Amino acid sequence: MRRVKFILAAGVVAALGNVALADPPKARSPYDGVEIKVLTDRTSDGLMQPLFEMLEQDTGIEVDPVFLDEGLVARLESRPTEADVVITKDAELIELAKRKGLLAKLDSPIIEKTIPAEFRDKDGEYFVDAYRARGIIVSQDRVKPGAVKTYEDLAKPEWKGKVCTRSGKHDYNIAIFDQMMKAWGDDKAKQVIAGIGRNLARAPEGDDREQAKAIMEGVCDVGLLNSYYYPKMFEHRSQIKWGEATRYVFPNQDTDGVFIMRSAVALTKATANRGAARMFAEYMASGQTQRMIVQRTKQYSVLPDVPPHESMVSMGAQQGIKDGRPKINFVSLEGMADKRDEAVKFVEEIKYDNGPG
Amino acid sequence: MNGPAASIDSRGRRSFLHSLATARYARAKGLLGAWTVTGIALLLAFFPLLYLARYLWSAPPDIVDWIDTWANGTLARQAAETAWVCIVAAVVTIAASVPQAVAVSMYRFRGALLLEGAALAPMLLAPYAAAGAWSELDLGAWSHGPLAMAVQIGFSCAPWAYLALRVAISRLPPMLGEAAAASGMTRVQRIIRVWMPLLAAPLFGAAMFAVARAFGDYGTAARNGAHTFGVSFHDIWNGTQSTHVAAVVALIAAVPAAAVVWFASARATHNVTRRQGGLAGVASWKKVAPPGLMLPAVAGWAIICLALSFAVPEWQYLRWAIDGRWMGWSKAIDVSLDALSTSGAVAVGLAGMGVACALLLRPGARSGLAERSIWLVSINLFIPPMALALAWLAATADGSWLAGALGEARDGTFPLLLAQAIKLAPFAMLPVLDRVARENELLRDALRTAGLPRGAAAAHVLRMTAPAIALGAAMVFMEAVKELEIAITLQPFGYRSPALKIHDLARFHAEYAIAGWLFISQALMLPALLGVVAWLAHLDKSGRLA
Repeated sequence: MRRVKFILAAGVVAALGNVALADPPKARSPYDGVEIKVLTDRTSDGLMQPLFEMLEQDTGIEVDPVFLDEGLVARLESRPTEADVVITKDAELIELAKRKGLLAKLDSPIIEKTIPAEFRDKDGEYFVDAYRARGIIVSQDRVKPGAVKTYEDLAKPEWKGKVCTRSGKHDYNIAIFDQMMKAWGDDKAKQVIAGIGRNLARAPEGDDREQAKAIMEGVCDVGLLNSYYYPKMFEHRSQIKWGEATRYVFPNQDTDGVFIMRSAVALTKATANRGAARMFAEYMASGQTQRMIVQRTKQYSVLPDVPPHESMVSMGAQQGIKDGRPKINFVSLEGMADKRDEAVKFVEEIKYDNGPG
Repeated sequence: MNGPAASIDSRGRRSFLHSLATARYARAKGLLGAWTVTGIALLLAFFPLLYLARYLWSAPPDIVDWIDTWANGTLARQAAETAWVCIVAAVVTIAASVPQAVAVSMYRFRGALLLEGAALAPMLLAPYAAAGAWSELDLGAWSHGPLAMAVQIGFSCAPWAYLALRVAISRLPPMLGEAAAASGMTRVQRIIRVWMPLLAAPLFGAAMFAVARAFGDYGTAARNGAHTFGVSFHDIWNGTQSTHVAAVVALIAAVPAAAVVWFASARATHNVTRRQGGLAGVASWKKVAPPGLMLPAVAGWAIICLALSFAVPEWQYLRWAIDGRWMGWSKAIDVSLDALSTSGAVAVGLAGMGVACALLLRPGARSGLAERSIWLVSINLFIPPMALALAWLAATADGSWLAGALGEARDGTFPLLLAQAIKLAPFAMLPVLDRVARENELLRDALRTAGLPRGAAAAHVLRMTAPAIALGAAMVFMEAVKELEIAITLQPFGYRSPALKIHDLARFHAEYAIAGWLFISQALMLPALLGVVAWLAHLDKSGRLA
């Protein structure tokens, strides 16, 4: 019995000694244990939550997020220092926030070095972390390959009553319409937008994927769809038939290129956790995170050496696009924001959202 | 006149003057109490609108241009579609509640509890969730579009109408019917000329709630592709990204809203039974056996309503849940606790407001403009919830006096609680108002005259009104659990709720994942719903009025 007690006591002493002599846990970064607040209009499931978890694992920075969906700029206007970082699915909103003086400079050599200039704000207040093409879907059965190759085609009389889109005042359509105005000039852009409006099969409704559903149901033959939604339809049992009924087209590849939608990252005026917030932004720009964004969202990375998602490569290959990256008609976010009000007013003037008739 | 006679006369006059002064003092005190509670309620209810109105003064010059563009653009079509949706929603609300309420309140039959449960079950299903299920069923315009939206909104409001009608029918004075029958009126004539006017208040109230919800809703309309005012507000706000434009558009809604609410309040205050508080208290309806084919007809109708409003979408979600992936207990519990604490706090806060109404509003025929004005708290049901959220967001902005007053509470759930409570206030206050209106106006005087201490008299009043306060709190709790649009904008950091999760996942059309969150929200609401059912059953058993 005495022997057993001795062994037990020795074991306890040894264990305590181990604990006492063990190295203190290493800090994963200078901001290990710091909590930052992130304001975003992106969804929690999908990319953001796993990204926050990966960030915490690698740097020790904890993220307290709020997922808004609506009213991002209004919230930022009301409480400019509430969050440390802003992430948006529509970078045009970040540009609007910048114009309202709500952002701080990133001041990050790492971001300046890694992110190509066209995806960085010229004043260094935000950067684009990923982008997707705003392309066209056509009916697999009713539209012959090559029949629709450009945005301009959607405005042609032959597609009257055959076009479906979501609301003309939704961010994604405002973004494409103001890019048209900036890139093509007001006259041509307005002709095309009005033409698409005249060709609508029904009053605009639903989100992008619901336009694919409408094509499957025979309501219309062509529609507008962000590139990443197309492969995502094949991941949901109920949506596979929507995807199978349609074909994706990267428009204007023989001319000026496809328009893109961008997501973006910025720092707010809050200064308490500026260092950790900057590290988060830099983490978003890292190759590891960029690859994660590509894998999880099927968007294109802004880093040239991060290849597109295989689904984008395969969609592009059907149109002869070699590396999976379509030709882009690049319009700066400043240029888009300059045209935003005009685009929204024009959409309202032509009663786009009323649909046909 | 001198001597003892003159002295008696003088004493009598003094006594008369004293009692006159006492009565005037009591009236003034009653008026002050009523206007205090009404004033606070109206101040809170109109605060968001007044705050939005501030933007009219500081509006940039281009705002006229924006409103002009909108007025000459899609407004006309949106107004027409909104009117259509509002009318259909009101009709569905009435149609899906009246037959069931009449049958359960007036007749004794087996299965009444089942019928009651069927009438109240749609409370568990938010209309935006029903919209998700129906749109997947692909029945064309029957499952998607303005008609489908109107029907879904109508069904979601039907349980409110059912509750109001159950209470109203239970207090119908049978002697009026007997007198009308004795005077030779047929059954149909009695229904049209006697009972319908007596039920006008709950019917108008229910229709008003349905119209309000259809008018301001965004989530259900967006999922149905309907172009109603709520969607219009969202789109114009989103397009312009301007608080000024959003404020002006939201204020436009306030004008017809105030008119409709005032009209409904007039109908309620002209209710005949209201002027017969004591009488109605004595006479309660005696349930009889249902006539001929009435029961199968009502049962058939109730089954159709239950199927369309609850069973079919619920079955669809059940199928998705079986196929879907469970999110894990830890996540489910975290989110549930968030929602439970917020919704519970809103319900408790508004129960407090209900207590104030019970104690300070004047009963029966003594009520006046102050009591009628309480109805105006319903105006916020018409305003797009996102506009309300925007108003609170602006009101609690950095540097504002309210943000200063709230201190650190500004960054927690308090603004969300406040905004939700003010929107849902009608659910808590109108049932209490209705109960107080039916109280015999002499009761409180009698309690005082009998020498009951003030506290004991108040406790007696609260015991009488407790069921209405509890009913209001239960309805508020259930509505708060389902509330989505204010939470989207005003949610504090780290906050989650099943409604927000459902909205998030709906952006992916991830119905398999939505189903789990829907059932969690229903599990949170179920005890409150069972409480309402138990309360109704208790009323029937005890023969007491609500």
